[in-house]
Amino acid sequence: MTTRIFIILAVILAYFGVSFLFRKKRLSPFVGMEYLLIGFLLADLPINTTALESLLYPFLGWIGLLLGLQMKKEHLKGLTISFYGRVALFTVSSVILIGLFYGLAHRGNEEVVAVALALSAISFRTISHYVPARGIGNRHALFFVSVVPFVLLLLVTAVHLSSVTPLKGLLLICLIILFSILGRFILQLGKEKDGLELLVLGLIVLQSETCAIFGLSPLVTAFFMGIYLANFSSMGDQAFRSVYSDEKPLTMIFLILVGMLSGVSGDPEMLFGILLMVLVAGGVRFLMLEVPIFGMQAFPSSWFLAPGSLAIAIAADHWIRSGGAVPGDWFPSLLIAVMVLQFISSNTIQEGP
Amino acid sequence: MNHKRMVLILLSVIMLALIPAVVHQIDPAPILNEPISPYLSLGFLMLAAYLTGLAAKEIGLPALTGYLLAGMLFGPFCLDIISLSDIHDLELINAIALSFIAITAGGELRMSSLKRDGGAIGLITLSHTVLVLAGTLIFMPLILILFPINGLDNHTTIWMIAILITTIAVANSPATTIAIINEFKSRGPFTDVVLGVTMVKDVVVLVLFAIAMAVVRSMDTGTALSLGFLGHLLIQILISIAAGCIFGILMILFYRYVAKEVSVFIVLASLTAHELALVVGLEHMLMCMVAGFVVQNFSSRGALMIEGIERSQLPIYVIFFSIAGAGLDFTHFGGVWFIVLVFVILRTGLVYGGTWLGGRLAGSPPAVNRYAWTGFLTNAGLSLSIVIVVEGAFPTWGSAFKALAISFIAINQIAGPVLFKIGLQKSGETRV
Repeated sequence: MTTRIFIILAVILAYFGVSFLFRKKRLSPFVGMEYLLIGFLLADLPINTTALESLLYPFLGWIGLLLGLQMKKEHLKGLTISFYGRVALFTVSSVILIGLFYGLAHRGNEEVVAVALALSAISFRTISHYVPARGIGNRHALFFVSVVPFVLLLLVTAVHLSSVTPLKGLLLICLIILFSILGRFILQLGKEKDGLELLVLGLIVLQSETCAIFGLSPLVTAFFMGIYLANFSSMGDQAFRSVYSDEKPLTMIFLILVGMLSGVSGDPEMLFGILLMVLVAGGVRFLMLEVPIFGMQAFPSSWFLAPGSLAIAIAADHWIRSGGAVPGDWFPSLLIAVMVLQFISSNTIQEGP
Repeated sequence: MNHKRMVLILLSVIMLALIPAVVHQIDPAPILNEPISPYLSLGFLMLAAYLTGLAAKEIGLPALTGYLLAGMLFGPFCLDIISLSDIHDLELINAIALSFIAITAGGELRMSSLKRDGGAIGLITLSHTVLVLAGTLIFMPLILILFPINGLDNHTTIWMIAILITTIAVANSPATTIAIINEFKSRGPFTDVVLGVTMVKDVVVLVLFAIAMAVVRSMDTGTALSLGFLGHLLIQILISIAAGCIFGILMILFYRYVAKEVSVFIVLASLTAHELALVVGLEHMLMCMVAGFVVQNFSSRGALMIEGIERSQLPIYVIFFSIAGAGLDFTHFGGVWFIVLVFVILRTGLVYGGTWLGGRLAGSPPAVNRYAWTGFLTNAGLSLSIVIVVEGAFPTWGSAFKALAISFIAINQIAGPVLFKIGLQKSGETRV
C-alpha cells in the first residue's frame, strides 16, 4: 500500500516537479528521458512487476496509433519518391550497420535486431525544437528526420513478421484488419470530443491487450490501424488530435513504467553494453550523415543522435514480447544509452553549429 | 430516435463483444502467450458501456443507465464476458473513480447555496431519514412474515434483516446523483438541495449502519447492546473531515502554483486520496467530498478544479458505473422478486413522503417538494459495501440478505437515474 503511495507521489513529483525544474531551460537536457531516471529509482521498491507489465501494452499501442494516424496520403504526396527512397536507404543502412557493429560483440544474440532498430530512431522532437523550419537546408533535415520513424516501423513490422510462426503472422494481419474496420466503425459514433477520446482510448486498450495475449506487437498493429483510420475514416483527424492531446502525460507515464520494469543495475557488463551502444550509434550516425546522397553534411552529426521515445518503444515492444519478466542486460543498457545520446544531442544542438 | 445510428451502435457492441468472448474460448496453449489480462476486459467495457450509453440516450434514458446495463449484460452474472476476477482486479480503478466522483460532488456544492438551502437540506434529510427508517422497520418484517423467503422462518432473523436493510433504504448513491447532474449540466436550487441531502445522508448512513450492526450483533449473540463504538466512529468521521480539509488545501496550493494539466492532476489526486485514506483508515468518500468542497469554497480556484473534472469525467463515469453494473448479482431475483418489488414501492412512497414533508417544513420551492424525491432513489456503492459486510458477518442468513438487498439495489439503480433525469427536467434546471 505504502509502495503504491510512493509511486503515485513520485509520478506527481516527476510530472509537475521535474518539468518545473527544467522549464527555464526551455527543454530538459534529456528531452523527457528524465522520467526514465525516476522509473529507475522506483524500480527498487517491492513492486508486482507482472501487473505493471500488462500496463505497458496499451502505451505501446498508443505510440503506434499516434504514428500511424500521421501517415496520411495527402501529407505523403508533398515529398518526392526519391526523397522517400533516400530516407529508406538511410534508415535501412543505419539498422544494418548498427546491427553489424553491435553484433560483433553480441554475436548470435536475439536482441541485436531490437538494438539496431531502436538505435536507428532519430528524435524529431529534439531537432524540431531547436532547428527552425526556415531555409531549404533546415526544412530538408526536418522532413528527413520526420520520415525516419515510419520507415523504421515498417522495418519493425517486417522483422516481427519474420520472427513469428506463419499462424501468428496470419493472426497479426487478421487483427490489423479487424481493429481497423472496427475502429472506423466505432469512431463514427463519437460525436463529442470527450466521447471520441474515450473511444480511441478503449480501442487502444482492447487492441493492445488482445495483441499481448497472442504475443503479437501492439506497436505494429496499432500503427497499421492508425494508417487505415487516417486515410479511410472521416474521424481520422479528430482521432489524431485526441491521441496527440494526451501525448505529454502518457509519454511520461510510459517512460516511468519502462524505467521501473527495466531492472537497471550497475554491473560491469551493463556498463560495457552502454558504452558499446553509444559508440556504435554515434559512429554509424556520423558515417551515414557524411554520405552525400542524403544531403545532410551541413549539419553536425551529434544533432541527430537523440533516438527519442520511439527507440524506447521499439525496444520495449521487443523486450516485453520476449518475456520481459526476466530482463536481459541489453534492455536496461539500451535505455541508459538512449539517455546518454539524448543528452549529447540536445546539448550540442543548444550550443549551435 | 435515429434508427440507423441505433443499428450501428448495436452492431458495434456485438462486434466488440465477440473479441473477448472468442479470446476466452481459446485453449491457452499453444497460441496464447500471456494470461488474459483484466485490461482486456477494461478496454472492452469502456467501449461497450460507452456505446450502450449512447443507445440509452437515443431512447431518452440517461447514458448512465446504459453504462450500468452494459455492465450487467456483459458481467459475470449474465454473459460472463467480464469475469468476477476481472472485477476484482479492476477494483483500484473503481476506487479512483469513486474518489474522483466524491471530489466532484464536494466541488459542486457551493457555500452560497448551502446558506440559501441549508434549512431545506437539513429538514429533508431529517424527515426523509426518520420516515424511511420508521416505515421500513414497521413494514419490512411484516412483508417478510407474509411472504417468507426460503429458510427464513425465524422471527429474530427477520427482524435482523429488516434492521439492516433499513440502512440500505435510507442510503443513496452520491456517485449516481453527481453523474446525472453532470450529464444534464443541471444548476439551481433543486439540484443543490438534492446534492446537499445526498452528501449529508452519506454520513448519516455510516452512523446508522454502525448502530444497526451493533443492534443486530447483540440480537444474534444474545449479549447486551453497547454503543461505545459510536465515539470511535465520531472520531473517525472528524478525522476524515480534517484530512479532507488538509487535502483540499494541498489541492489549492497546486492550483495556485502549478495549475497545469489539471485533468491529469485530478485523477492523480483521486488516487492519492484513496491510498492515503486506506492507509490511515479514513472514510475516503467523505474525505474527498470535503477536499472538493474546500477547493470550491475557500479558494478562487474552484473553476479550475471543475474544468479538470469535466475533462476527465466521461471515462471515469463509464468505467465506474459499468463495473458497478457488472458486480450486481441479480441471479436470485427470480426467488425474491415479489418482496423486492413491494419493498421498492414502499421505499419510493416513503422517500416521496419524507421529501415532501421536509420541503414543506423548510418552505422550499414547489419544484423541490414535488420532484426532489426522484434524486433519492438511487442505490450503489455504499449499499453494496453494506451487503458485503453483512454477508461476511452473518454467514447463516447473510446470503438471504444479499439476495434480497442486491435485487433491491439493482432495481433502484436502474430506475433511480431515469426518474432523477425526469425530475431534473421537470424542475427546469437542466441545460442539455
